[in-house]
Amino acid sequence: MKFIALLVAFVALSTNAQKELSGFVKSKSSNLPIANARIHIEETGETSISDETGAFMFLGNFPESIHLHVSAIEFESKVLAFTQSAQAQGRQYLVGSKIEIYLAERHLDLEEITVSTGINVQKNKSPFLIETRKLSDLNGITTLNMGEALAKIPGVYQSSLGNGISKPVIRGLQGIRVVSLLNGMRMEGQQWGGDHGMGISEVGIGSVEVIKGPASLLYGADALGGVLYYSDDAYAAVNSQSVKVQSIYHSNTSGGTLRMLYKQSNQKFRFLIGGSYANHADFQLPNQKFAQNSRFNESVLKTALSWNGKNKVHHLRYSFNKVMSGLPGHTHDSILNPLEFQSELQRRKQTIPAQFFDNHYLSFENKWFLEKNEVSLLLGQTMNQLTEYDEKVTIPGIQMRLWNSLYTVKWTHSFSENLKVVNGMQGMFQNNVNGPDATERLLPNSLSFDNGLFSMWMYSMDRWNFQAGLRYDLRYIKTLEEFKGKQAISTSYGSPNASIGAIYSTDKCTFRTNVSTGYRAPHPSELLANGFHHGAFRYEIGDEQLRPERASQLDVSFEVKRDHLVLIVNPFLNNIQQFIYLQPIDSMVDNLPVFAYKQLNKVLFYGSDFGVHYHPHFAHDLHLEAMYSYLNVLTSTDSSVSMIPPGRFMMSFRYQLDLGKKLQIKDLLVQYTYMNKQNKLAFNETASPAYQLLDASLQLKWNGKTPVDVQFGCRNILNASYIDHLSRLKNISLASPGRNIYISINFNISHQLKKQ
Amino acid sequence: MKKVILFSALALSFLVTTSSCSKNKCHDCHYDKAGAEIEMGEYCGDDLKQLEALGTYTDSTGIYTVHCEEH
Repeated sequence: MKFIALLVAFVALSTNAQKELSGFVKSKSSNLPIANARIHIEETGETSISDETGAFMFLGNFPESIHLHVSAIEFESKVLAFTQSAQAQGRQYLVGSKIEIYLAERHLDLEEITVSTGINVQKNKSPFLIETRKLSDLNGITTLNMGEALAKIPGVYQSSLGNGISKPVIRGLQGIRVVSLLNGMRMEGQQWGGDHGMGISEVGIGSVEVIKGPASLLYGADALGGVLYYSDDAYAAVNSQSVKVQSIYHSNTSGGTLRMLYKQSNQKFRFLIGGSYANHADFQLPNQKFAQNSRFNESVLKTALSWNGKNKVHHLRYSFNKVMSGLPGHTHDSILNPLEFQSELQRRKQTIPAQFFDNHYLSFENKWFLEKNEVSLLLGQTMNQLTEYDEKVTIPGIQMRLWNSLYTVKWTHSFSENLKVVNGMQGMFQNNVNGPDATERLLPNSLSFDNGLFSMWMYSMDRWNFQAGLRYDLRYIKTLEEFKGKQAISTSYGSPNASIGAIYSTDKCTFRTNVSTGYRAPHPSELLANGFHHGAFRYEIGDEQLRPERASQLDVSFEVKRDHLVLIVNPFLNNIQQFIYLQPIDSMVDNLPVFAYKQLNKVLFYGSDFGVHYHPHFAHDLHLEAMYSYLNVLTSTDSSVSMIPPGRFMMSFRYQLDLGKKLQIKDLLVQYTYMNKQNKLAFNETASPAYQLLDASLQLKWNGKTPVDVQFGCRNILNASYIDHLSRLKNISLASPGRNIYISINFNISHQLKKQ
Repeated sequence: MKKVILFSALALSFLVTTSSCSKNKCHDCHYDKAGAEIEMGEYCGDDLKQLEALGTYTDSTGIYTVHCEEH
């Protein structure tokens, strides 16, 4: 109670005299008002929705300088930057008087705002091609987990161990080489292990951004493959509350998910609270049998609170997720019989071996705005507990707790309209502790300490935008005990990094190019391994002399934009030096082959993503999208990089219908995927044949007193039997899930609050 | 609106609560002797933990590894 009283007092003190910011959103061509346009203040996170007359209003305390992001269906998105008494984009916008915003009609709008580059910037002004996707778009065909949803983005794949454990793969790199962030806070969850889950759920997540390739300038060590940046769902519009309830049933796993998200916003503060529960039994194979012990369940809690005062905004966020995932195909036998991992019966009850992971994410983000300056401080604390029950039901085989304390300080200064600099410091302190009851240790108890300093400059000139930056990082690693016959270590790694890029953008085309570097210090698992890795069926030996990996990437993209057509080509070259990999040595321990960590002087990852979005003029409601991702790897040897994703072609056909009044047919989506064969193999890898998948969904809307969206769909309509090249179940020849029919029911209710 | 929120919150709370880990789990345990599976009955809570920590069953004919997992 005391805490609530203090919080209320703090919020009250943080807010002063209120100002009004209001205006209209209108069509540029017809001058008619645009209803349901979304007007979002980027700095504070406040949102307003325009009414039938196009009017919107904010009442509160706003920073001196703000950016309004205005968007509406079938219109362009626009970002308007202005100060309380200044001009922006050649037009006069004044706080306290009505603003008129004109949007041009556009059938295909791809100019989203990106936040993952350190500042809020419109996509057509960023030299780095950042894939921004709303989670609702990725779930046009409903997925069972986040990894499956992300694998619809060009260049992004998933490496899965059944449905419960799925990890993203960006341009062929995964695990420790991909960094995930939640609202700017780095998520650490033993991601070095191929069979360790991701620890994020879809509830309360609004969008995800993907930076492909090295991004050490912004996020420090490890991001050689890329970055996944998850952003929370926007708060409710000012003076309103909303509730979203979603229930999904999947026939394949005889399971489903129940999600709920409640939001409320007024002029002083905004909050959201939500949760979800998912429970899935063993998935069904195309041969009608079931993948033994592929069951999983997940519970999630998510909360966020935001308030703003004069020239400042604060976000306090906490989320927790708890996952139990069976480990299909887990065995200690040296001779594998694939049929042993299939069952006639579908089971749901938790058994062993099973993995449990708990993730707590707490962050406190603060921003202060002055006329030409913005200072932000992000403090975070995360805890990941990974527990694996293997032979015994009460005594864990593995149990590790990873505590991570993080900070990011950034100072953004605008010298002029065209020149801006972001200087910052970022760091984290990690403590890995093994559970006292665990029978096995994969890592010793250890500490690591990261610190980095960076400076990033942005300059715009006519249709050109430039960005360049420098950074230096230092990582200190210390193990606290002797581990598997190896002495405790205390070592540090440091590296400078840089990036430079340019973009030229017009209404008709966009050209980007950038060069970026990254580094990754060796992980203690690579330095100190000396034992069995049962999940991978091998005995691993580490090497304390490993040096940091260094990557440098050249990325180019070219977009052609027309009213009804968008084409994009995005080739890249990513050169990684001192690439760490596992090499078999001619030895066996207890019938398992022995592998040692080695380094290659140079590995070149290269490829391209191609995309086309066609929206024919004669069929206004039809959208055709196609994309192709290609990746290849060159090494001095021909078999040291494993799990290289094969070429992938995806095509979707979406028809937006508007039939009926009470019962509307909203959306018909058909999606086709062709995954090419993969013959580029590493040691002990086998080739994967090509396969194709067909998915479809139909969305209906009931416009009753309580509006309801219902989505029916089917994944793998043809019940194709396939084993993905990146599946962790490939070694036991276990096929991916067969046909899955699902139904999703959504209630999405908004309610206007009384104005205060 | 209130009904939807209330119903959903209750349903979610019920699911999360009932799915939480039970601290007093029970399992049927057995050991293998001369090719046969000898049932030891159901063990729960601390008894189960003690049996697994010990890991073996001893009788006049020898020492046998105890299993309590379901496969």
